[in-house]
Amino acid sequence: MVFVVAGSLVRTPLPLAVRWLLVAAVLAAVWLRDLGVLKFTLPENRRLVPESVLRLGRHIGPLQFGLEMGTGARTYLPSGLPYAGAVAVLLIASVPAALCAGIGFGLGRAMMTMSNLRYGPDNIWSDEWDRHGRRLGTMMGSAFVLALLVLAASTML
Amino acid sequence: MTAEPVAGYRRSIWHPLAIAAVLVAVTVGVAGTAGTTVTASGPGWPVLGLWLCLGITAGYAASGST
Repeated sequence: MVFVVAGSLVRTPLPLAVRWLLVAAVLAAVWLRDLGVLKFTLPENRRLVPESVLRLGRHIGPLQFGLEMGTGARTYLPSGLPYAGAVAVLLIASVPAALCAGIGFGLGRAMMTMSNLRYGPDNIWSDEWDRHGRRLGTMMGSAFVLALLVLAASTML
Repeated sequence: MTAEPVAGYRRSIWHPLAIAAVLVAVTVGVAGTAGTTVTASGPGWPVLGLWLCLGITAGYAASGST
């Protein structure tokens, strides 16, 4: 919601086509960064959520952990796609669309923890992720680009 | 003792690649639906679904270790 509110100020002087070009430029930059072609730092809170939050109680502790982990507020973000998504929300999304993107981001983060727990012991899910990291990045990047392309086409109608 | 369970894990539906394949398939499906149903009257549920897919792919893509 913060992005939509801030975006309402940024969007005013920019035509829709220019805003989509900006989204495409950011996406290209972060994707090239993920592939190792470009090297630059993105804003990131490089800290894990501490276990101490779980001492806040049976319900509040896990809730805070989930909120911080799910929103990416206090964790590592090894992919640039969330940044491109944030710029798309900032420059393009309506309020319902921004809500959907935010809920989706949380679901994507939850999918990681859920599948990690169900896959096997000793964090071997993460080992598998690292083993197939490039292919996974390509798959997720392709799906992300496809979604953006169709959204661009739908908003330009 | 360990070889068989690992092979089993690799076939699991919870494997990172299996989850990614499902996400790609869902995104393609929603994109196809949105691409064929959006009209000049404005975006509908498929477009919101596409924003949802956009968020899910971004969130899941950030699952790897640093």
